[in-house]
Amino acid sequence: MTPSIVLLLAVVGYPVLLGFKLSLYDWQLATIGQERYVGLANYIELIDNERLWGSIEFTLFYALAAVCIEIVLGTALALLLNQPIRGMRFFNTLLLAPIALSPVAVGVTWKFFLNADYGTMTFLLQEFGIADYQTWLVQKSAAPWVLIGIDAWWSLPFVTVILLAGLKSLPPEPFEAAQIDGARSWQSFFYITLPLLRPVYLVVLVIRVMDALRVHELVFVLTQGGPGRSTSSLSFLIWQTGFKLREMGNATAIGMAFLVFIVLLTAVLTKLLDRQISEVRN
Amino acid sequence: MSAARFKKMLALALAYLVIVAFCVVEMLPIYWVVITSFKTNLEIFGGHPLMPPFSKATLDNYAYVFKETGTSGVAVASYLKNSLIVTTCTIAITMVVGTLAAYGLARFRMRGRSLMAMLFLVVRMVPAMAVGIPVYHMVRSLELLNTHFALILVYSAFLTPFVIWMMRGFLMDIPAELEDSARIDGCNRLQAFWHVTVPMAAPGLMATATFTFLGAWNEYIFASLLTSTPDAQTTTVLIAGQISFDQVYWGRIAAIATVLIVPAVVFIRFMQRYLIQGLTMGAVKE
Repeated sequence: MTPSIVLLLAVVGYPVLLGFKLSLYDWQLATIGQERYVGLANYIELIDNERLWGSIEFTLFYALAAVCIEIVLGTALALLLNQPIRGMRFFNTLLLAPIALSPVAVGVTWKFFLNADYGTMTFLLQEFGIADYQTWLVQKSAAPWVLIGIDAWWSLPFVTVILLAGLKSLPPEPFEAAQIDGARSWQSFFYITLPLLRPVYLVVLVIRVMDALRVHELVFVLTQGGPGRSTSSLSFLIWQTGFKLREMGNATAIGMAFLVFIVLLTAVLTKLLDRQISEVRN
Repeated sequence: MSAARFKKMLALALAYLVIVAFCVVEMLPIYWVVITSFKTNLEIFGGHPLMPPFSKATLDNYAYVFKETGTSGVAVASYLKNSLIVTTCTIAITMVVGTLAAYGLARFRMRGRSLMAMLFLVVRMVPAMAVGIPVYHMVRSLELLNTHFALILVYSAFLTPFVIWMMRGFLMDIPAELEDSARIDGCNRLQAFWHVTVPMAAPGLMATATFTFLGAWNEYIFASLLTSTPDAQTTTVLIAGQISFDQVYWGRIAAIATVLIVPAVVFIRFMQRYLIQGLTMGAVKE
């Protein structure tokens, strides 16, 4: 036990404390060692920091939209894959590949794919006679949806694979009983499958929401927060404020506020999750 | 053919269609990156984007990215070496430290077990960027910026809770009686752990190590903050840095992406059996 606790305290615990301290100072990379104590000024500045509120809005919207799409489509795909279809193992294996991808690799791939002039997306649109080209990444209204779409593309296999495992673990008896009683398939889905899978859904939900809330690489590689500030996620804003605008004190304050929010959210969800996990295990 | 049977066949055909379409959509971008890495610029910008290059296939992109920087290459080999060093050391540290801790949690009644669970979840959920600046500050004051050691330390700390959680589950499935009988036969506790429990937990160890591999190999945020030169930068940072040249050298970047992606995709096969358990932190078992 001891080595792991020492490691966690030194490399996770200490920086968190340091972060709270640094968020009370006015400092920049160039002036490390001459930090100026400013009390809560960094936090007070956050309140009318429009960039921050824009980022919060985008980040919440992104996480909500992406996770909703993934859960709905993932459910549909898991139900399809749960049928007695030949070659299912092969499909299952194929779907593992996106799970192993680095977020940076995903971002770079899609950046090329969506290139307005030579990208495969433009090529496909022309091929099917839908449009001559697309400039989705530079349109304020479209860019957030492009990122959400890529998130869905990347995470849908993950969601599907887990929901499928959940479906496979369900006992057959309630479904047989329902069939004998004359229930239609949509009825057994809504009244038997969904309630039984509640814990699995909760686990998927928690993991996906948390991972979507911290999105950085996709934004960094694909849009740099633009066009305008339409896709500036919280993680990206922290990076930009600290390392581009060189306002380290401010950036640290945003980071700490973000951290507190995530820890509170985790605490609430752990309570829910703990109960559900013990249900799955038993 | 009866109407009911026909309906069933139709449903099955539809299911096939949707599943195949889904797999095509998921695989298409990955396939595209791999074939593009073997194409010349003429093929990339003039040819069919989804056709393999066939006889015009070239290794020029790979030759270029593996060339040293002095001769106008990007020396991807040194970035790969950094990724490999950092990943290997991270796996070694997290597996030893994490498995021992998990063993303690699984075998001994200890105070703060639920606290440990909570801690684990929090560390898993903390956004890297939220603590990125203080971590950077700490590493800088220790004068460890741009070293393998800093990345190994940070990755180990953030991945150890995951290893503890996974291994605790696997170790609890191994009956303690086996160790007890080994100890009656004259082993001490460590010997019993090493000769009895570890071999039985081997598949779980493999799966957990693979997840740790993915976590370290694919990591970008800490690597981008804590390293700045090819001496310590990892492959993910190299790729992100190359995108400013994306108007011209797609093939080269595709080649770097391919060498980053392939090991990860190959590795994930090793843990297929434990995939669900690993992905859900042990919450859902297959």
